[in-house]
Amino acid sequence: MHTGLIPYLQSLRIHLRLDTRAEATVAEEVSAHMEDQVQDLVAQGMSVEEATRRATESFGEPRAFAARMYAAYNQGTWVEAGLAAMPHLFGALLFANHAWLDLRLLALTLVAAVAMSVTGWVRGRPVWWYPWLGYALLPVLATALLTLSIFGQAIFSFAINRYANLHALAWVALALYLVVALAAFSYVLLRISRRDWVYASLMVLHLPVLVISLLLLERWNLQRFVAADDSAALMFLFLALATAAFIRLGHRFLKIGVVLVITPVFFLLATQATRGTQSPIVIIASLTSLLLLLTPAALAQASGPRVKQTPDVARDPSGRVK
Amino acid sequence: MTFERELLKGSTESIILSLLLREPMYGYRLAREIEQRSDGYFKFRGGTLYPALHRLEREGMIEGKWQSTPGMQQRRYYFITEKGRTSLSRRTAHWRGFADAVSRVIMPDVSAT
Repeated sequence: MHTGLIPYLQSLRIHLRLDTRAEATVAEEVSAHMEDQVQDLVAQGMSVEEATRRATESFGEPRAFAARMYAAYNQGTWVEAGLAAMPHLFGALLFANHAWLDLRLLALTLVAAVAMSVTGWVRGRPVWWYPWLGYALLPVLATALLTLSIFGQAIFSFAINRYANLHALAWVALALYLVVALAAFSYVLLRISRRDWVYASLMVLHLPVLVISLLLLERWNLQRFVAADDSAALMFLFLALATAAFIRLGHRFLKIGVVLVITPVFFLLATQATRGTQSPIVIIASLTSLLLLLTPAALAQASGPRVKQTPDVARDPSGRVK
Repeated sequence: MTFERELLKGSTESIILSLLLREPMYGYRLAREIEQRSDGYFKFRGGTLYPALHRLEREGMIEGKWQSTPGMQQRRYYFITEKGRTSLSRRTAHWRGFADAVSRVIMPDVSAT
């Protein structure tokens, strides 16, 4: 490879935000195109330096070219939009039919989420994969929060009564589980945030609904909570529409717009669900929603520039990406 | 210039599909072929060509495969699919109707002869 092409190709790799296989293919294709163009221009009498400059100019600024490739890859088809919206539609159906109380259906939904997550991971993490992964990780997060709650109650009990209602081994086990569960969730969120925080936000889009639901469940009795199932179904339906819009939109700034519009809509829906009687909870939930949805952006920023390693993708005997 | 750019934007995919209908090609060769067949009128830059190629591939109109060139270099050749042929046929029919209608309005004397 002509050394003059390397800086452009390195810069392109940094700005490309595609799945692993696609990134490797695009990078190799661009490299091959530039090599051919330089070869032809040199054969026509141009200097290598001038030919290299012309070849890189034909692709434009790396960031702009990467943005066009992003739009080409990230404007999902209607099928992909439907697949991505499906877990939220399941949630809407569960709440609309008060079926979320049925543990078998919940377990079935979880199994489907895990199966789709594994399928998507094997297929190179397509755009529809992220919402499914978010639901597959939900039990990890939910049990971690439950563990935290048990811890909190045990600590409170010890502080007030000087009596720990937990065996010493239980303390250790719970602490260990909490650390492992939160570390696992954080690792996945960080990995995806580093690649593209917008998709990490898509992955956790459903969490604010969970936060609102848990907060309301604590304040209300079960009967009153079940009576608000229609509002929860509406929230999940809105999530499904927002997810489908996210997938169908090509430009990244439009996808970010969809993520940002979630919080005020949740605020309105939650206010409507609580008939305005739980304003503090709604405000806390809305702020938590914004925090959850923007955490991936903060993680991506904190982790610094994206340094690409050679991706681990399947290659044929000649070394080309399959 | 803006008019020409808009006209090209709407024709890019049709141009690519029509060439791939003739024979499979890789990106650089496709760009050269477009320039030669249009007598230099179209100069497809890499920054325009590859997003269009990958978009067509994602839509199932074409399929990319790494193959050896006659010079034993590995290049990603694009093949038109059945879906791509159907789409091209539809686009060509629309283009003929559009071009005829525009010609009749803009150049009525030429269209009449």
